[in-house]
This record gives sequence, C-alpha cells and structure tokens, in this order.
Amino acid sequence: MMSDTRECIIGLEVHAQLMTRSKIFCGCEVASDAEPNTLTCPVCLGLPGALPVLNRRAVELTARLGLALGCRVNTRSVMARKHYAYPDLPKGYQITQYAQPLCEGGGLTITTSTGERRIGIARIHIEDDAGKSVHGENGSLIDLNRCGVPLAEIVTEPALRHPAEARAWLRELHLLLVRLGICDGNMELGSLRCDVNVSLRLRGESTLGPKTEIKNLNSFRNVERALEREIARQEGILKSGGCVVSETLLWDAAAGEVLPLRSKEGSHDYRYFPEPDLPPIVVEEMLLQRLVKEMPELPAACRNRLRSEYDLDKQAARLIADDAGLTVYFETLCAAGVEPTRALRWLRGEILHRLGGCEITTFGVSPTALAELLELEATERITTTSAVRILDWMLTEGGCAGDGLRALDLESIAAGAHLDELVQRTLADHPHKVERYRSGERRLFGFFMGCVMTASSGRANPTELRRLLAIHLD
Amino acid sequence: MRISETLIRHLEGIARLETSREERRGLRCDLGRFLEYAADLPDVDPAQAIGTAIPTHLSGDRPDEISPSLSQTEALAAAPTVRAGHFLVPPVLPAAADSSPPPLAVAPPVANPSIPVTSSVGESALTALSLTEALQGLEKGEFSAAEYRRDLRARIQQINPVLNAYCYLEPSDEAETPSRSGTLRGLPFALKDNLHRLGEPLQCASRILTGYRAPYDATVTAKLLAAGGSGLGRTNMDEFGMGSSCEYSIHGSTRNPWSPAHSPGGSSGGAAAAVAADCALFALGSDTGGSLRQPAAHCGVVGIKPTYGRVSRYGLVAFASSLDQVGPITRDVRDAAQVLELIMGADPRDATCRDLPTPGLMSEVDNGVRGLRIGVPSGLGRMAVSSSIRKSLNDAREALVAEGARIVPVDLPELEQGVAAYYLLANAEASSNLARFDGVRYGARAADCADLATLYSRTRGEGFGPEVKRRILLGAFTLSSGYYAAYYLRAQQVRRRLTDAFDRLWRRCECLLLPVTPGPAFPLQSRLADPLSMYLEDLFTVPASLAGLPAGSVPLGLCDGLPLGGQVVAPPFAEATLIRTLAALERAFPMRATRGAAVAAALADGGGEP
Repeated sequence: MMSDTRECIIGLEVHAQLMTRSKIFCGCEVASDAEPNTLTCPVCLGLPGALPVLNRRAVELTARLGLALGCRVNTRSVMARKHYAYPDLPKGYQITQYAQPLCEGGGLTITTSTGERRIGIARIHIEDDAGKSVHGENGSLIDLNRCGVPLAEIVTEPALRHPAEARAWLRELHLLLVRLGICDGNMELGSLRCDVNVSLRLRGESTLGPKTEIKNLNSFRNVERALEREIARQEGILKSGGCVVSETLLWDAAAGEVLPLRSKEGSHDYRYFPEPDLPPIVVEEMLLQRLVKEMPELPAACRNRLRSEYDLDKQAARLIADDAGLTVYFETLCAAGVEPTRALRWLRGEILHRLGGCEITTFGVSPTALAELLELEATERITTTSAVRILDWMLTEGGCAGDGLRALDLESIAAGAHLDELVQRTLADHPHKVERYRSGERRLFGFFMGCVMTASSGRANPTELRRLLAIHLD
Repeated sequence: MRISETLIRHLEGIARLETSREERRGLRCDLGRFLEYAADLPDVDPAQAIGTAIPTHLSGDRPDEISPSLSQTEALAAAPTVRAGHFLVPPVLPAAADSSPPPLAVAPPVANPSIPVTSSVGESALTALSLTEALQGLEKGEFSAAEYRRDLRARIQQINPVLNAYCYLEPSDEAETPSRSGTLRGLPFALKDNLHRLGEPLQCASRILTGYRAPYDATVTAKLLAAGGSGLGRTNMDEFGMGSSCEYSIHGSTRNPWSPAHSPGGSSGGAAAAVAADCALFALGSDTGGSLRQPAAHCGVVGIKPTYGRVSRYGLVAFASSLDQVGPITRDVRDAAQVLELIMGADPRDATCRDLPTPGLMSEVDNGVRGLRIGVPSGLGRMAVSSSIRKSLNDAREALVAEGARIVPVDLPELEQGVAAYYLLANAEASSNLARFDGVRYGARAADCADLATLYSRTRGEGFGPEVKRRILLGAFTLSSGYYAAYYLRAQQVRRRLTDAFDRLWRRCECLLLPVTPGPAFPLQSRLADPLSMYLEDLFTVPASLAGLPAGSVPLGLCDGLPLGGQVVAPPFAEATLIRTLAALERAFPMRATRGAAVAAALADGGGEP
C-alpha cells in the first residue's frame, strides 16, 4: 500500500490504567461497574478546598514498568497541571507530569516479518483520568466515577515504520503490563488505550512532516487498521500535491474510517506549570532495589530461556512464554519428567483445545496429574487415544490417571493371544484387501492398523500391532 | 507592555471568561501597567528556575487504601442541573434549536448595610475579654459559654450593620448549650468565608459560589470543633482572597472599627474588624501575600501567618496553593499562640502539610528576647514607606534593645522584587485554582446558555468580580505559551533568590523586624481605581509568603488615630521565636485600652459614612 518513495513515521502514546485499589489522589475505589457518580468525593469532584494526595502504589507500579522497560527512573520527578476545559474534567486541569516525568529512555523489542527491532521509549509519566461524557442532543450527561483513576502514559519515540510494527509493539507492551501486574490490559473497558501519531516523508529525508493524531484506539486490530487507513489518506493527499494538516482524528471502527474530531476548541494552550498542591515525587534507592528484586521474568527473557533450556522453536517459545500460567504449567510438566516435545504437543493440542480461551490456571487437571498420565503414554502402557479418553475422565471425575486407566479398562493390549487373535480376525474379515496388499498395494497397511485399533477400542499398542500385522500379512 | 486586543481575547478564551467591551478596555490597561512594573525582574537562569512551586522540600503521599465515597445524591446535591444520576450540561456544540436547561437564578449582591449604631457600644464586659481571660472566667465559673455566646451575638447584631464584618451568622439556637469540654470550653470562633464548615454556606465573597453549602469540614474547622470550640459565623473578605482592602466583596465593604471611613485591610478584613471591635473572640483567616498580617495591622490586632506546611490547607478554598496558609487573628499574642497550638500539625489530606513536632507556643509568650539577635533593615531604601511607619519601626527597634535583644543591621535588596514576583506567581496559580468554578457541579450558572462554551464564559464572566477577572487573566497570561519563561520562570527564580537570601540571613539573626504596610489604613475606595497601588500595599508582607516563612503582625502604636503594625519574620518552623518577639513588642506597645476606647468612640460616632 505504501509507495517506495515515502516512509511513514509512527509514534504511540499508550494510557495504561494502573491496578490500584483506590484512585490516584483520593481514597475512592476504582471500579468500572458502579452506578454513575457513586465513586466520588470532594477531591475527585474538584470541590473548592479539596487537595490531592498521591497514591504511592501508582508510583511503585509505574517505576516497576520503567525498570522492566530499561528506563531511567528519576529519583525526583514533578507533577504538573495541564489546563483544558471540558465538563468531565472537574478541576479544569489534569494532574500529569510535564518537564520532569517519572521515567525516561528505555525501549521494547519487537519481532516482525522484517526481523527484530528495539523501539525507544521517550518517557513514562503518571496522571489522573477524566470522567465520562455521554453526549446527546439535549446536552451531555457527566459521570465522574473515572475521575482520578490512575494512569501511566507510555510515549514511544517516533521510531515505528509500519502499522504492523505498531500493532506488534502494542501487543508486546500489553503482555508486559499484564505480566507485571501493572494493568489488567482490558482494552474493551478502556484499561489500555492507544493514541497514534503518524506522518509521512520522502525516504532519505531527516525532518518530520506534519503529523496527525488518532485518539483512543481500543484494540490491536484497530491500531493497525486505523494506521493503514490514515497512511493511505495522507499518501493520497501528498500524491495529489496537497499538504497534510496537523490535526486530531477519531477512528470509526464500524465504517473503517478516520474522521476529524468533533470539537470547537481551536487553540490548545495547556499552560503547564508545576502542581503546587503536591510535593515532588521522590523515588528512594531502597524502593528501586526492592522493585528490581521483585521483578518477575519478563516475556522476552522467558522466550529465550525456553528456547535454550527446552529446545523449543521460536513459535512454541512465544506460545508458552507469553502466558505466565502456561509457562508454569509447561515447566512443571517438564520437571515431573515429561519430555518437552511431548509436553508441548499436549499443551498445544488437547489442553488448549479444552481450555477454549480460558486461563490454564482454571484447568481441572494439575500439571503433576497430567505428568502421570503422559508417563503412561510415554511408556506405552496406554495409547495416545486412551490417554485422551483418560484425560476427559479425569476432568469429569477428578481422579488420577491410574484410577482413570482402571475405570475405563484402557491398559493397552500389547502382546499375547488377544492382540494376535484380533489381527487374525481382522484379516479374515477382509480377504480381498489382504490379497490386494499382497499384490503390492502397500498403503492398505494403514487400513488394517485402523481396523484393529477400532476393534481394540484404541487400546492396541501400535508398535506391537505393527509387528504382528507385518508377520501375518507377509 | 501593550496588551493587544488579540492577546486579551486569547486570554479570555483560555480562561473561559466573558468580559464586556468596557471591562476589556480597563483590563488591557491594568495588565499592561502591571507587566511594565514586572519588567524589572532579573533575567532567568534556566538551570535554577526549573522546579516545583512549593518553597520547602516536602514529601507526603498516601497508601493505596479505599475510603468511603459520597453517595450519588451527595455528589449531585449542589449541581444546578442533573439527569438520571448524572451532571447535566448543555451540548458541547450549539444545537440548532435552543435546548439548554432552565436558568438558575443568581442572587443579587447584598447591599452594604449601614444602620447607625445608637447606644451602649463597648459596654459588655464579657466580649472585651481575651481568649485567655475568657477561659479563666469559665474555669472559675464566673459565666458560662452560653452566656458569653449570648453577649457576643448581641454585640455582633448591634455593630455588624456598621462594620459589615460578618457575612453569615449561624442561626441563633438558644436551647443549644455549647460543650463545656476541651481546651476551648465551648467558646465561639469566627471563620473567614473561604474556610469550610459542614452545612454552612461558603461563598468566598463571590457571586459564583451563590448557593454553595460546604459538604465537609476544613481540617482547621474540625480541629477547633474537636478542641471544644463552637461555630459562630463567617467573616467578610476580598473575593477569593484577592485584595488588600475588603472592598472586592459580593457582601459589600467591611469598615475599619477605628474609623468606619477607612478600609480594615484585606483580604481577611472581616476577621480583623470583628476581633478589633470585640465582635469575635478570635478568628481564623488565610494569608497568601499578607491577608492576615495587613488587616491585623490596620485594625490594631494580632495576625500570624504560620510557616508554609505548618497548618493544613484542606478545606481552605485555594487562591495560590504554594502561598496560602491558615492562621489566627486575635486580640493578643498569647491568644494567637493558643489558637496556633490548636490548629498546627500534619494532615493526611494535605500533602504539603509537614509531619513535624509542634512546639508549645503559649510558654514562649513570657520568655522575652534577651540575647536574641533580631535583624532590622539598615534602611528601607528607596521603598515608598510613610514617615510614621519609619518612626514606628525605630521605636520598635529601641524597645527590643531595651528588652535585651541584639539588633543586627541587615540588607535585603531582594525584598523590592517581591511584589512583581508574588503577583505573577500567585495569579498564575489562582487562574488555575479558579478554573473549577464553571457552573457545572456547584454554584451559580448563567441562564440560557445554548452551548457549553457559552455556559462557561458567561457563568464565569457574570460570577467573578473585577479584581478576580484581572488576576485570572494575568495568571493565564503568565502561564500561556510564549510568556511562561519570561514571566513565570523569572518570577520563580526571584522567589528562589529571595528564599536563599533569607536562608543566609538566618545565620546572622534569629528573626527579622519589618513594617507590615507602607502606611496606615487607607480610606475606603481610595485604591480601587489603581490596582497597582493596591498591590504595592503588600510590599513588606509578600517576602515571607514567597519564602514560606512564619510571620506575624502586632500593633506598634498610632498615627492620626489609626493603628500601625510591626511585622516579625522568623526562620521556617520557628514559630516559637516569632511568638517570643511579637510578645516582647506587645509588652512595649500596649494597645488594648487604646483600642477599646477608640473603637467605642468611632462606632458611637455612627459609622454612617462614607
């Protein structure tokens, strides 16, 4: 879609709702399902005389994110007021950070079809969220429950070059936020929102062209689609000799279009200045040391470790590493003696299928119980088919693998008269096919295997069966 | 600096403030004059100017714990219009048809009452008592708190029509017996109209807060109530604390009890007038650039602004957050020490309020100043100071020497830049703090607004008085893009230098003696035409405000029948030294008998003019 003469420059601003119990500047509870205007107090209503007091958990969570992204966490940062007028902004200003944010620098590496690229982070700061306006023809209804919900804003360098990269970066960030317990990552409910900035320029140029900003994208897919549409729009303008106007746009997901923001506000003069109601935020060295100590393994490191420790391929490592629960489950299976390839095959196949999108932590069979089952399969005491049947029995009955095996009578038929008899009977039932096989139609071997398997209710040991069939057919 | 029509319109736009054509012409002129005055500020060193607006190094945060929220009914209680559990505002963009909510009536300004006083002014023995004396009287059982309250109410009802010191008096409830427990034993206190008292109307002397009732107690209010104090009423002030004369008020001007033709000073003018006229035992006010000290000086009483961070600001309607402090106005220094002891201390609701041990202050009153090194400016230089003030300061110096203090001549050239820096910074913060008054959640709302922008600019245009508008626009200018570095940062730099100069000063002396004002109280209306002349009234009070230092004002004598005040400034959190020195001056310049007689005479004259 992009011509070879131009490249696009993309930057993201991501708002992540911090997982605190109370709001950033007051003790009101953070909840998304309350009746309108039931989670407010003099502070978040912006009543005269009320003062903000910073929730230290919000600082800790943001500092943790900064450390995970390799940012410099400033020992001293300053809150600032950003002024604009809107009825869901009760104080007439947002309390955010401007000149001295909490975190600066750092980056996050993404893998796309074109390879690995580290995208730099300009800054991460903390701020309060505004309320919610519902606009109607006869006026707007204002709910201030969201006012003062703590947010971290993560701003990338304008270093992304493709909508797919933007999507991949946001996905990687999402993973990290959820893994670190910083944000619940629920994009539909607005816990994670993304604004994108995009401009085009001729390849080889070093200055940036006029950019547009698309606000409040609420899914990975919409980030990519909105960017694709906007790049096409800008390219169309430039090709026809026009100029792109710097403006803020909205994404209409249903129509798949970018629209100008419906706003009367002409000039933005935010009049930032240091928030006089709040002292500077001081992050002690002790806190940073504690946060480093508590830092869990990050997704990228986990992927690398899984690849080297268990010899997984890239895709498999991502599948397991990107889900913290799955990582634990997988590693517990392996520690219990299950071969990594077998563990991966089962997780990727039967287990994920049965989870149907739910968390592995909700799965009814523990990894140690599953390991016992897989041990039976590995030692060929049961066939794979039987193992699957036992798994389902374990899920419904709650017993261990050995109980399932006995209850279902699925001990594999390995040798002896019984299997031999089944083979002979099967061959006797299909004299023509036996003749065709013997005259060279070798692919019928699979057919006989299947017949005996069915006749044995899937219990026939495949190795032994193959040996017996070969004896009787040849 | 010339303020162009385009610039003033831009400022009105970002400040959401509608002005009339005539107003705008005046505003352009006033802003231009002030900015010319401020042009003398030194150039900025960007490396030093970045920082917070808060003068001291503080830290205060809170654990992530949930506290109860208001109910939906409570949250929406003060809103002009609501629908289905929501605040309701007109559409963001104007609709084709007018569909705005019904208008809310805005109350007309209260006319300045001027009922002549007829008889028996100043005859009540009880109301003339100081807080200390009243407490002793209660302890000895000479009278009850209810009796005291009854006498005080009677006196207020008699005198307030002339003084207009109170803008709200609690409904009389004869059956109510004030609590006899606690330090205050049920004695009443007066609150400035910008301090929250649950359930009472609070207006900051502004039309825009018409109908607003406080839904919570300020921390200082709660502390006084917990100490056994009882509410009494609310005192008049300049709108949102912006003014030095108590004339910019929706409730009308307050008069000086020493001479009703004169201003009591401001912005805590109502509090000072009430205490001076024995209409309040003591009052709490606020001081941003001198609002406690200057009216106390003009009314011949004691006013103390504590160190920034000493007293909680929670529930004080903010004017300039980095400067505002709550403090007492009392009849003597001992009373001030007593009230300070009751209101000082950390508050989890105010992050700028310091968690420091609070000293005993009452015990300092009689400690004297023997051996104390007290700084006195070697000359007040080219500052415009009246000869009476110069003389009173000399007298004060000699009195302190006689009490055994050592006078240290000091030179503080930084004082002169204080007014420009103060008005730039205070109004920058004010323009931000007053952004919340928009007619959406509480207060008055302009009628018949078809769209949101109109609602904002008309509500604010109609709701704010002339001085508040001037300051909001000046503040918006100071912070606006293109002027921030030249004005806000330069002023912040001056503030830093002034603070540093004080820090150096404290190596040479334990406190500093200064005038409070350039001259005695001025006649009502004499400064209204020239805002800059009103600002220059704050020349000696803003330095301590900018540096966050404790400072107090105490009477030093009279000039043409009007009281003069002296100011003592102390190092951060050295309220003890402040009290010692103020008390020494009080002993040298007793004012009590003079005040009682002078006020009685002035009020008996009938305060019918001007």
